[in-house]
Amino acid sequence: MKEGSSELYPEDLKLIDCDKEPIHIIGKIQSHGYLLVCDATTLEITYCSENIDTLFNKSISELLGSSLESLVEDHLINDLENATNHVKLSPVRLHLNNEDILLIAHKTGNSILLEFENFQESQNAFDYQIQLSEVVTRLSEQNNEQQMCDVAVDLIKKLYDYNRVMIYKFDENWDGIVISEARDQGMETWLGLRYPASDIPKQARDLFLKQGVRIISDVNEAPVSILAHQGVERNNPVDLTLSELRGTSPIHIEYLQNMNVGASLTAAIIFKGTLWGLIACHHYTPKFVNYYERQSCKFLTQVFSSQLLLSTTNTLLEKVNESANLRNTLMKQISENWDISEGLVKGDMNLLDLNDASGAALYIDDIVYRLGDAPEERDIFKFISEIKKRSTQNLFQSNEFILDLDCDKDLIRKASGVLCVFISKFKDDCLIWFKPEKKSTVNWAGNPDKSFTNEKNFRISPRKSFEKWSVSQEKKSEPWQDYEVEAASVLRQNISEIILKKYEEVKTLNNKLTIAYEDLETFSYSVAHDLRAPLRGIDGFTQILKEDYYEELDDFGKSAIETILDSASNMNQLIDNILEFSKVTQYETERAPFDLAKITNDILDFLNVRLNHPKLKITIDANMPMLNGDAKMVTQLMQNLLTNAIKYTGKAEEPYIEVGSTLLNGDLFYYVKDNGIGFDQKHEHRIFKLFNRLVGEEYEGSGIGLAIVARIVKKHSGIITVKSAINEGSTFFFNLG
Amino acid sequence: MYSNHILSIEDNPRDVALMKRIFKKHIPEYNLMHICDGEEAISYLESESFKLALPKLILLDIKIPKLDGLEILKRFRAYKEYLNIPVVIFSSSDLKKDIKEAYEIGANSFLEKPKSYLELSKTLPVLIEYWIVYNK
Repeated sequence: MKEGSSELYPEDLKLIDCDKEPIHIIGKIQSHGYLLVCDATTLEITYCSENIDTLFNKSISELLGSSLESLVEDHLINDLENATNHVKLSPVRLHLNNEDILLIAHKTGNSILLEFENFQESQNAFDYQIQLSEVVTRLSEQNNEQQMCDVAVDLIKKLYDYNRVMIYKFDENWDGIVISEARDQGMETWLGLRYPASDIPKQARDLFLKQGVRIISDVNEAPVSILAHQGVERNNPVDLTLSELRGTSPIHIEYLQNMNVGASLTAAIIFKGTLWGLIACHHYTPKFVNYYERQSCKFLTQVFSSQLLLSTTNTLLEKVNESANLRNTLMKQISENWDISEGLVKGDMNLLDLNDASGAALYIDDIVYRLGDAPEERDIFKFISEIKKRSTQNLFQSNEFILDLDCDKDLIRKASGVLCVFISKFKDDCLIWFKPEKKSTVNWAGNPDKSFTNEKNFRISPRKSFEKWSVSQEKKSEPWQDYEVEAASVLRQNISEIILKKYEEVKTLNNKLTIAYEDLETFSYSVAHDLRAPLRGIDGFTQILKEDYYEELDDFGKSAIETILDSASNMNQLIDNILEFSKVTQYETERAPFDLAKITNDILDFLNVRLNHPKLKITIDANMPMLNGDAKMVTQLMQNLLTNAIKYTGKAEEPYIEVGSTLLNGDLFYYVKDNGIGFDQKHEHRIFKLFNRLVGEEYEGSGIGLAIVARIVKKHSGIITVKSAINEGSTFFFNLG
Repeated sequence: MYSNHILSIEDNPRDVALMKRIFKKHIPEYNLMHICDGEEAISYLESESFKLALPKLILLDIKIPKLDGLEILKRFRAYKEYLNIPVVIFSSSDLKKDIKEAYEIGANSFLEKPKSYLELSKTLPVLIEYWIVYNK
């Protein structure tokens, strides 16, 4: 016979990390019970607890290696053989060695574990039923988490009579906090204390999740080793995951001893498959709770968990509903006039109503809109770039965003917590909510940094001090709740959809406009053309009248003929201009560098200006920088500007025109300046509009020339402005972008 | 067999009247014959009587009823024996595509109709002179 798997449990292993302690193969059981393990196929006994001989009156060497069939009745054997893996069989009451014993068996892998504990008469089933329904009723009457927890600890305390019953809730870091407590009189409260995650390490939490409920009946009693039959693989120790009797980690024992705890009962509160918290019961002397009581405790905890889930779900549903309503309102506000910022910021409801944030901001189309207690614009920009550094997701949240940032007190106060959704993948447009700093004091049950002390041989032992250790918490806000994050995410989707819809509508509208515009262009082009034919008729036949009958007419007849010819000519000019105007729109610009001085001179030659207007003085700056544009269009532009300048200086004493270039606000502009009649500066925008004339009939013109000029400039994405005053001439400045 | 006339295919009666006057007054040595409908024009161009008295020049408008001027030109240019009869498009259109197409299908010239009577009376004699006298 050899020492069993218990040796595998590294009692004096140099544990660095408590998380690595293999507690499910601890190799020991608690002393209030007995363990037998047999092979599931051969029924040969492979392991037994060291104390088993007192139960069967057989020595350990006799038992190990013998068949289970010699120990228990046939029908039981049958049940065991048909057991489902990891499911406990109904406990069986046995009479062994003059004792009433309860057998709890289950199969795990290729082993069958038989656990024996003293049988205790369970409570009257009827009383139990009444108690239970009372519990369920009381729990279901509560509608918030705290009340439910308080009721639960009271009930458990009453039912199981431990000295202290607590509900211990895990936070996102698996630190636990005592949120509810019922205790004997005269005991110090542990309510509100926080325990670091290392106090209940991961593998312990995993076991709780699987087992649901567990007791330690006597912290100070030495555990009983599990012995193995010779030849059984030492590397394949008994898996005690589902064991009722599983021995307790020496570290945990020490931990409980340090707190003077003598016995404990722990039940797992499981919430959607994860460990939400524990119902932890402490007793200061040894205390055994039998199997039936443990099961009812497990059941109660399940009832409690589902009530808690229901209530939380209801709260969540309410919040979700609220936020859905709000989102609808916001979307309605947006679609009222297709303005996202208007809808989110300026309506009856706004962004800030969506959650518990104290400030919010919307950044869209290069504008920041701030709501509530939001940081300054420049800080918002800083935040956005910081968020982009930390995450590439379209949703970002943190309740300690500011922790690593260099921020002033005001910013910390306003924006310790940040929730941000990006509206567009390609731009920084986003919605941000801010939660203020929540200074708070965390009361640790002992200094969490010293939960374990390294003693000689580096063996880790749990901390000895459980004195309240207060740490004040700064630069953190209340956490963002799931429903807040969810609401923000859905709002983001809604806005994206609206943007997409808006984009589609604009695109359709744009297409329609383009078609309408093209139609209009074609229309004006063909109308102008079609006017030519009848006009040629009017002009032609009047001309014939003039040629053949002029001398037969009196003076009025003669002047009438001249007027008709004149009008026809004017109309021809108008048609020319309209055609020219619509051509500018139709043709694409072809840019190339050219010399504006040369073009100006060509135009003056072409128009015979120097001959026709001998009084006119024209200065052209020969050193103007080259202009980059469509030379043909710019010729048209200059021709219009020059014709205007000549026209409006016609009555000046010393008519003067200057063409040159200059800087306006740092940008290069070319100009055509005259000392003509000028106009009131307030009309500066009107004069570039089609058919807008500021002068009367004494100056010829169709009101199209400057519209053509403006269009040519626009075609080049350039700028045109004018400075003028009545009787002080005009200067037209332009560039070609 | 050439005759001493010019054929105008043109639907606007006012333009026809103006052209007739200009011919009479400025180039009386040529007769102006005119047809004002596209179908009529093509059936004439393909007829025996056309063959018997060929025009010196054809002035062809584009926008004419029943058959488009460019379509008439296309069909007319299929007659190899008439290739030396110059066809001048005489239209109010100045659309690039019209001009391009006209030359591609065998127009000899493309002339935008002058805006005024005076211009017309100067243009027509020059045009006739160019295509008939110099082109001989």
